[in-house]
Amino acid sequence: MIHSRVNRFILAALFFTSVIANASHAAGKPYHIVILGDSLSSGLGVEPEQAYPSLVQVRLKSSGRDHIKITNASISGSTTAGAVSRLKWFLRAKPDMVILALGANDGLRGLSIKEMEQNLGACIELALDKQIKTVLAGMKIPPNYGQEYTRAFETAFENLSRTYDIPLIPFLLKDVAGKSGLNQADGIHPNADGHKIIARTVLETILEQL
Amino acid sequence: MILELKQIQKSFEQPRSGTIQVLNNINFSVDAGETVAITGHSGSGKTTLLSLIAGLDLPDTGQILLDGENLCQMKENQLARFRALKIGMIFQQFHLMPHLTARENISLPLEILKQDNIRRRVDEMLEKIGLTDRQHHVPAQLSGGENQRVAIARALIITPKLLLADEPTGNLDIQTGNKIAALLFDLVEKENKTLIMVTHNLVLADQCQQVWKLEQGSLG
Amino acid sequence: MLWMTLGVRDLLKNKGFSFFFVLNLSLGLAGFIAIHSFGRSLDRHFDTNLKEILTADLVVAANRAIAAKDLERINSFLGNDYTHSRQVSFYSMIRTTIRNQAHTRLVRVMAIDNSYPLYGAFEMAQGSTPTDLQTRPYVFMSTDTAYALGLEPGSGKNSTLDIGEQAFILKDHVVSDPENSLTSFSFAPRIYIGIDQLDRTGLIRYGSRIWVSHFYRLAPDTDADQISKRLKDRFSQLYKDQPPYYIYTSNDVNRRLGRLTRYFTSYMGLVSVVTLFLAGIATAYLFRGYLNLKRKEMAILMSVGGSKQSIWFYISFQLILLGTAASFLATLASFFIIPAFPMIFKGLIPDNVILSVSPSALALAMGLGMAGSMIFCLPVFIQIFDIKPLMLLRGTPDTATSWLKQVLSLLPGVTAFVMISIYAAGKLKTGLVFVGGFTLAIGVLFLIGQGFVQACKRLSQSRTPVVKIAFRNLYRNQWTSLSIFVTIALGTFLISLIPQVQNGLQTEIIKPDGLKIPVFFLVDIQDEQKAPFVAFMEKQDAIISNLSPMVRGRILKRNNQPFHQRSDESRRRRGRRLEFNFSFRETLDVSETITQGDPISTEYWDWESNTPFDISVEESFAKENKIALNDILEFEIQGIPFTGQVKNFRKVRWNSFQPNFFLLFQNGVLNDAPKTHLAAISQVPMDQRQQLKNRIVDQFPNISVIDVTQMANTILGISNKLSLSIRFMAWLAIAAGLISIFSIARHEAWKNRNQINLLKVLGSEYPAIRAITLIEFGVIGFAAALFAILLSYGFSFGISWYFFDNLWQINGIISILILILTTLICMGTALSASRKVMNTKPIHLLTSGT
Repeated sequence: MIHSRVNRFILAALFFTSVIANASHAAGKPYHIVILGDSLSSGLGVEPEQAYPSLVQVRLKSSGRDHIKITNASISGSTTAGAVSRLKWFLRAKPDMVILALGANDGLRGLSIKEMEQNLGACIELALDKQIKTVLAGMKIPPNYGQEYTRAFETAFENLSRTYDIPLIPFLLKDVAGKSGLNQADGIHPNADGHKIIARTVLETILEQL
Repeated sequence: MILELKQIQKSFEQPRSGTIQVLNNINFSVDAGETVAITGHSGSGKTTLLSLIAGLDLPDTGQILLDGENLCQMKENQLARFRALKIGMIFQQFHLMPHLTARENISLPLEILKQDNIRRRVDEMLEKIGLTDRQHHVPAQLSGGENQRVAIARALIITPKLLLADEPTGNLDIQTGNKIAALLFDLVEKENKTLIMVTHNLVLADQCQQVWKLEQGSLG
Repeated sequence: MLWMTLGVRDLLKNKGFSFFFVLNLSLGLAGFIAIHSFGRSLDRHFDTNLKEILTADLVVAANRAIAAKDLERINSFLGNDYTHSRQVSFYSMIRTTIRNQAHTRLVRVMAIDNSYPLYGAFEMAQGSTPTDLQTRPYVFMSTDTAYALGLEPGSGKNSTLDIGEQAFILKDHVVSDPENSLTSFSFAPRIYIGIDQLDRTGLIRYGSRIWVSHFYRLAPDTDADQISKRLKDRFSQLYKDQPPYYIYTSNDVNRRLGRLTRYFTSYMGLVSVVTLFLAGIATAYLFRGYLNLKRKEMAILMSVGGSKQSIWFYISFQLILLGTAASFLATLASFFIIPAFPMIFKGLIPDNVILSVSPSALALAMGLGMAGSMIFCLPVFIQIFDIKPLMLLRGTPDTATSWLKQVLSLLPGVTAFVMISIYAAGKLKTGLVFVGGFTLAIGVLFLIGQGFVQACKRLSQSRTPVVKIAFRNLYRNQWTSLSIFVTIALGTFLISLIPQVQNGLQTEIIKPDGLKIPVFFLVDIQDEQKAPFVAFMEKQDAIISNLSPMVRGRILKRNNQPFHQRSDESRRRRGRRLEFNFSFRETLDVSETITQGDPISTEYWDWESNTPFDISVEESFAKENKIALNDILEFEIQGIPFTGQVKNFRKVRWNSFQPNFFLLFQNGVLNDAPKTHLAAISQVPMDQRQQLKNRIVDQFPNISVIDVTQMANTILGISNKLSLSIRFMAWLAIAAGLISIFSIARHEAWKNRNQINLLKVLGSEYPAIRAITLIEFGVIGFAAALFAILLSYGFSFGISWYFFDNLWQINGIISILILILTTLICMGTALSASRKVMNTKPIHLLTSGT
């Protein structure tokens, strides 16, 4: 009876591990990276292959790092509130590295920064506890939210990085944010060209950490 | 000779019974001042003949000459005007304009034909028919005899060459009918008019100078 | 002159008839004017409503300042007569210091200029205007917002807030603001500042996320949608399919609301054309009847020398006089009646609608009354030209007009009708469809009428003398019977077209039974927060009216083909949508109904079964993406592939205000997937709302609370008004139609008096005469109405299919009502006519000329 209620996600998680296990025979030790993000990472408004996680995967492959597998676990509109439970779910796939790219929605909705810090902190603790390499992607909030809030928001990422001594991508949208040619008409989501730049930024950090 | 009918043929198409020959080779002439009665049974073609003489309908073949002019060759509007000027008509059902007074009914043809001295002529005519005191009544307020007098006056007011009457007393009681007939003949005589009358009242027919009997579309 | 004098004299002498004729005609015309004017007024009202929601006819917006060159380009499309307003809005964290404690809070800052709003208005507690905001750092906000921020208006300590680098003073409370936030959900309350004060905040700089809107109010009767389309095309060209600007009109504000108002316009067109046809039928019928009565008089006039032209002039002059009198009477009446509508029909028609007599309706009614005589009577005139005074001798009209002539004589009337229909319907296509359908209906009713006459022949074999006479009369006067049948049937047909469409539309518009109007939408409730949240809400003075899980994913394939959403212009602009929200629920919401297919299985789906799970697809989504029943869809949710099969299509009521999803999955598919929950909260007492909002945020800081009260009120307000108007218009049209039928029946009954008289002369007693009359008129009225109503079902279905996306529902009660009323009207008018005849001396009728 219990068996019949085994859900697909658990089995899928097993599936991940088996794929990875198989891959290990082919090229070196398999390495699994999970990107836990929001719409910026899920590629809202662009094709899945144009979103930066896919681009990073392609570049890793073309540079001969076939053993590295990237899972894009991003959900548009998600906030840091669901970070821990989402990470818990992906722990089943035993990732080697997690890139936390959350917080933008917290900021845009004016949610409490303290709360955001706590959520991300809990998530980092969980990852570190499971001995997963954790990378924090820093975020900035547009200046119209007011100096005090935007500064506090930025600082939160720096604080977390320092507190947990984990690497920080200072700003995920570096060289992309605010540039009309690199963003969609809504002015906030990167277009395909924008994603190429983000891929470069993220790839740099990944390579540093490997 | 005021009226001449030559070789008149008239038939009607009936949807069920085919062609019916109503008038067959009618020839006759009437001199000015004559009075003629056309008699015959119902359906003998009296009314058809009268309508041809009146120019209300056209024969299939033949000629109708009124005052020397051939009715059959006239254009419709020309015929209407010619008819209005030369022919006065009296109907069994009077056919007065219901909303016009006696006086207005009598003056109507003059007005339509844009004639002069209307008032004087109508006054005289009213006197002739003896309705001066009832001239402002509408047909519904007048008796049958009075209505027919108005109709006679309306027919005579244009001083027509020819007067056509279709059962002029048919809708009246005998006494009134006689009075109307007397008035009609009196006026015809005084004004020296030609009268053709359709009737099956033989007493009335006998008062005419000529009586023609129509039988199965032919004059006997 | 003679003919004019004669004409006037005739009409005056015949006062009774003239009055009766004018009254009948003016009733029909007044009905048309009233309905047309009412419709136009309502249309204008809803149009203004939509414009007030948008506050403009046209908006061009962007996430940055619009280039001066592009503004010039826009202006060149707008013509000379327009007004303009500029607005910048953005989210910001503002600071307040209450009792020495600093608070920050997210607000939506709206920087407005003096011309805002172009439609609608601010209602302020102390009567301030946007002008007050420009020269000094003042701010407006609602009482609720002020309360939430702990602010009081005035110059005291508690009236200052910091927006960026500038301290602003709360100047006045907004009682109601022009924008009803139908365009988008807002995560934060709006506060208003002057656009001239914007620089002082220091918040607008590189990287700032702002929203710049340019509002345009165009000259009346300008087609904003057309301009919008041309602008979009222009910018698509200029910016190679990636225009940086959003361009929208009031119709885009709320797609469904826009669609409903378009329905309403079409519906008004339908009602207008129907009443126009009804007035036309009554007018044509009365005119033709008049002409037939005048046949003998015309013959007399011809016999005494009147030419055809002058007789035509004489009759036309009379008809024009009567028609003009009727038009004037109708106009005069409508000037008194229409402004009285709101009083007479209080509660039945929407409040605050400014009703005015539509000049176009007046012009149409005048035209119909005056020129209509010439147009409608041409076919009869053509016959009259063939009348000879011969009928005076023979007693029967002898006319044999050629076929071609008769058809040609109908042309001007038909042409005029087509043109007026197009005008009344407001659209070429609509007008033509109505005229086409109407012509077809005449044909069908004519055939049915012939069948009816034949049936009367059979029924006349009855042994009951009264029945025998009645049916024999109907059969023997077959042309008269046929013409009454067709006319009454046409009238009933037209009236009966409306209730079905009305019923269908109304069912779509009114709020669903059992709907709880939400006050708040809560987003981003985490899975683990669900239980505590439900427990928390149980202690509050409110209810959760909907709690839906939401899982985000992509649709990969449809029937093994890559799934791409239709890439129309709007999609292109917003970027292709590939991610969707999926949900599941045990029972459908009250606002949802399955339109095709079977309910999805309630069994827990076992993925090991390797069978696709059941999917319920929202109807319009299915249509837009060409998804059919039983299609196999493949999904990717959090990196995991799934396969499902479309089990049913689901219609979601537009004004349900509940979280709705395009795709619902079978139980078991998403239960363990990472998800958040969406909730709708209802039944919160007015004075508790702000506190509840604060409590939720305190308890669950990650949950965003969206206040939808104003949006729900606006939409429900408009839909209630629409619904009310649609029903009222239907009743009005039915009333106007019955009046037309009444005047036709009355005229017919009046014509019938000779026959009644004859029966009387022949010694029939009144009860027998009454019975004969009642049977004759009752049977003809009932049969005509019955077939007309049945026919109207088919036609109204066609109309709904064509114009109203299949919104059709039989309105049985009204159909029965129309059937009964039509029959009663026919019987009643006949009865009163026969009673009048009984009270008249037979001789009067016999001598007064027939």
